[in-house]
Parts: sequence; structure tokens; C-alpha cells
Amino acid sequence: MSLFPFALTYSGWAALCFAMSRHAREVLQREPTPLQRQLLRAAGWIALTVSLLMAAAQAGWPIGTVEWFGMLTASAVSFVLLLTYRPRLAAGLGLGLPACALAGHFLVSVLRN
Amino acid sequence: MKEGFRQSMAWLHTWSGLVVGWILFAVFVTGTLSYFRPEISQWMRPELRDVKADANAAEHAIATLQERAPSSPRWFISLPEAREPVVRVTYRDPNGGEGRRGFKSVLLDPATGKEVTARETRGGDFFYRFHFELSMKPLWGRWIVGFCAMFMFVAIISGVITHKKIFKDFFTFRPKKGQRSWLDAHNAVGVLALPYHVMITYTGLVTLMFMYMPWGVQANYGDNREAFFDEALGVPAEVKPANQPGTLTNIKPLIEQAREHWDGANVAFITVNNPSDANSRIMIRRDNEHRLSTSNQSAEFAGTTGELLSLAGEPPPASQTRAVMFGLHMATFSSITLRWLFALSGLGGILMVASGLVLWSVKRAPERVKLGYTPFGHRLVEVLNIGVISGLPIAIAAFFYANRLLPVELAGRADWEVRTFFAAWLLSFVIPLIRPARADWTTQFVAGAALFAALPALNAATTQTHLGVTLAHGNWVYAGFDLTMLGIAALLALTAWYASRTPTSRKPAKRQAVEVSGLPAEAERA
Repeated sequence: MSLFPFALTYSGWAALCFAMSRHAREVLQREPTPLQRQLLRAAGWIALTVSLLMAAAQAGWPIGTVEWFGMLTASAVSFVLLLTYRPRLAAGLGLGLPACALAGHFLVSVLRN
Repeated sequence: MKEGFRQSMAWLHTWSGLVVGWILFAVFVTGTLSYFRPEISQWMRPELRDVKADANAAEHAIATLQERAPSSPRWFISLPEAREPVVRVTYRDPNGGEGRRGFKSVLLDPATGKEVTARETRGGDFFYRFHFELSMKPLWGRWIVGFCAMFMFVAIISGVITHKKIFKDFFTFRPKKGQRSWLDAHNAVGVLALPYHVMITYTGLVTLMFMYMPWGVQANYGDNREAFFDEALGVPAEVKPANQPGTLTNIKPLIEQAREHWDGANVAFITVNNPSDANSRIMIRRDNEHRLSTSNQSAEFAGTTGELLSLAGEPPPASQTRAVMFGLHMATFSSITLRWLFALSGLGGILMVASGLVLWSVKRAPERVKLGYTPFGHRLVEVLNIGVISGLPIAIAAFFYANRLLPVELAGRADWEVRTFFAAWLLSFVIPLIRPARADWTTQFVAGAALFAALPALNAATTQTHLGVTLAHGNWVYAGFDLTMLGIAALLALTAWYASRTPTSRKPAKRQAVEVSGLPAEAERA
């Protein structure tokens, strides 16, 4: 199980969260436009869907799906806790986590060769 | 009944949750521990530290059994796996064993087939069985747990209905707001791990499903319940012995042959029927590491010739469905990451039940203030909450302490470990009876934290399986156990800290606050 699908579920939750004006106001200090909100919501659902597809591709559908639900819970809990106590970090990791996961993946594959 | 649907569901949620909450808490805790049943068993038998899985384990085990119990009507051989690399064989002891129907269980070293002696303990099996039998008579325990699981399901469904803003408050947690925070926390661990809660409760009900209404089976099969299970679950029928001596063929090629049919999956279990008879049968069952189902995929061979007699493939759909539910519940399939994800969700369940129980008290705090005294019911809930929620960790720690401190040669040692567990738990009910509740939450969480924190040290003082050795050798089963104990200690310590400083509500906070309370609350959100 690679970290990337997990990072994607985190980003998905973050996008869905900041598509809600209440959370966006608190953290980003501005009201998102309706278009921004729609884009965030779409991005969130896409991230969650892609993470499911990736988990299934890695472990097969039966176990991949189970893994995906586990990741959804773990990332949602971490996101909510960060949002409460480190809101800026919570938002930043929405982009940072997948980037880190990709970089780590890249690094590992370079080191292996 | 003038109330709306949602109010009536709220009532249902409150009371269905409270009545069974204490048992559910214990069931959740021991269930979560059971994900690590082999590791716990391993840690509790430090004598087995250097035992390693071996490719010829099955051959060695059979050689030992042929020597020890040639006349046993059946042998059961459970092969080593990475998490518990020891062979367990069960056979009928010619000298009359102590177990059920004269059967005796022995641990063997996979590399030699020699018996290994370890201290007598129930290991992780204790938590596993407690999870669905509560250390009661099997039938009673299962009835009670099944009953509680049904209430759990009711509480989950009514909880979702009652939750007013399940989507709007999906990401919301507002700390330091008394009852509001408790409700937020309860909702968060409930909703965010909802797929897990629904799955684990439903599949849990399914694992015990033949218990609830046995009369249909009784009416059709009478006392012959075995026949029902054979037909329902597809277990092949037994063969009669020919009463002529026979010799078993070499097991190794049979294992290879079976594995080929299963795309190289490992063999978990071997049953040999009539091992010294001409009509012997060898049944080889695969493990479930990389699949959800726990269906008994097995291959049956004639014992003397090694001829493949039958290959139980995937069972019919109904039975397969049940097998998948079993598999999901027991998480036998899982990789280490997935197992930890399950364990974290299990922790979510623990926190959900605990916060729900505390919420009942917190919500009624104004009532107590108004009355000017604490009614008996409130006091009862309070004492039970403290005893169950802060006492169970102490009892678990005591169980592990007993494992290390009781003399190895003590008769009935395994039972004494269990007695220590219950004695410690009982004590944590007695203390809150005589002391004010507030101080007790803190004291007992501190006690739990201290016990868990000192466990690796005790381990180092009494065994050679301590972190100094196990980390150096990369023995992660033992090292992981010790490190996890330190993690649990940290969680309990945070809880204690939180309980000691919760200012306003008379009934202090607990565990789910743990994870969050470590960070300064700089973001006070509206």
C-alpha cells in the first residue's frame, strides 16, 4: 500500500471541507465564490474516486475497497484534528501530502535503480 | 407520542446506547486487541523468542505425531506463520489428556519438530474469547454479546438519524465548550469511522448468527447440529477407518500440489484423519492472507497413496458471503498497514462508546446542580463509567504483569493470570465508590498510564525479550508489542492530564479528548 492514495483521500477531504463557506472563512479568511466552491467540491470527489481506483489497482477490488475505507477514516480523523488545532497546516497539507507522497515515491524508485 | 421522529430516535439512541455501553466498551477494547492476537500470544510466551518458521514444519510435526500419538483418531496441525512462528499440534493423548475429550495441544519447534515448553498462558486467546464470550460460559456469553451487538446496531442507525447536521458538521470539532465538545467528539469518531462501525457490528452479528434463533435448526436436524453445519458451510463428511494398518505418505509433495491449485497461497492448517489406518485422509487448508473470505478452501488427499481426492473450491454463494463477512470481521487477510487501519478504526469505536457514556452524564449535569444532590442513577452511571472506562486498561496491564511475575511453575498459571485481570478490574470499581468521581478519573488513568509505561521495563527485568535485544535483532513482534505499550501509556497519560484540568463540567473528560488535547488550542473556532 503506497502512501499516495492515502494522501489523495486527505486532499479530497480538505477540498470538500473548504468548499463549505464556514470552514473556508475560518481558515482562508475569505468567502469562496460559488465557482470556487463548485471546483473544490468537484476536486474533492475526484480525489476520493481516484484514490479508490488506485487502491483497487494496487490490492485488487476486494481488499482495495476495504483499505480505501480504512484510509478514508484515518485521513478524515487526522484532517479534523489538524483543522481544529493547526488549521493552516491542515489546509497546506491538502496540497503538501500528495506532493510529498509523489516525491517520496519518485525518490524510492530512483534509489532502487 | 407527540414528539417528532427525530426526538424519538434520540431517545432510542440514548437508552439503547447506555444500557449496553459498558459491555460494548469492553467488547470494542478486547476486539481491537484481538487484531493482534498472535503477537500478544507470542509476547506472552517469551521462551519462544528464537523459534522460526521452517519450510519443513509439516513433515517434522507429522514425524513427532507418529511417534507420540499414532493411535489418535485425528491430528490437527496448525502451521507457523510470520506473526506466530510456532507449530501447534492437537491429538488425543494415549494417557488421557487434560483437554476436551482427551485431546491435548502441544507447541512444536517448526525447525525440529521437538516440543517447546513455554509458560502456561492463554495469551491473546484470552482477549479474543472475551470479545465474544466475556469469559462466561460460551453460550451465555455469546448470547449477551450478540444481544449487545444488536443494540449497537440500533444505536448506530438511530444515531445517524438523530444527528442533525451530519454533512454540515462533518468536519467540525469545537473544543473547550463542555457538552458541545463532547457531542462533537462523539459525532466525529462515530461519523468518520461509520463504515467501520456498520461493517464490524453487522459482520459481528453474522458471526454469531446461528446462536440467536437455534430452533429452526433444532426442528430440522434435532441434536445433530454438526450435520447442519456440514450442509450449510460445505464441510466434507468423515470417512470410517478400514481397521487395517497403513502408513502415511510424505506430506511435502501434497502441500506443493495443493498450493499450485491456490496460486501459491500458503498452507495454514492440516488435519489428518485415522493417521495409522489404511483409510487415512489428509486435509490441507489454505491461509487467508491475501483475500477477504475465510471459506475453508481445502484439498483432501488419501493418506497412504497421496491421491488427490477432492478439492473444495469456492463454496456456494450463500456460504461464501458468510465467509467474506467472517473475514472482514476478523481481518485475517490483512497486511500490517491494513491491520493498523482496522485497529485505529477500532480505537474510534472505543472512543465513540466511551464519549457516548460520558455524554450521558455530562448532559445531566445541570439537572444535578438544580437538584443540589446526585441521584442514585447518576451516581451509578458515573461509577460504572469510571470502573469500566478507566479500569479496563488497568486490568489489561495487570494481565500482562501477571504473565511476567507469576512463577512459571505455578499450577493453573493461566487461570491465575485471568484472575489477576478480573481482580484489578474489580478494584477499579471499588475505588470510585468511596472517592469523589473527579479525582478518580485522573488517578485511575494515571495508574493505567504508569502500568503500561513500566511494562517494557518489567519485561527487561524478567525476560530476554526486551527492547534492547529485540530491537537489535529486528524482532518486530516483541519490539512492536513493547513500543505499542508505550504508545498506550502516552494515550492514557494525555487522557489523565485532560481529565485533571477540565475546569467546568463536573464530570471530566476522557479518552477521545486524548488525541486532541496534546496540542495547544490556538484555534478557537466559532
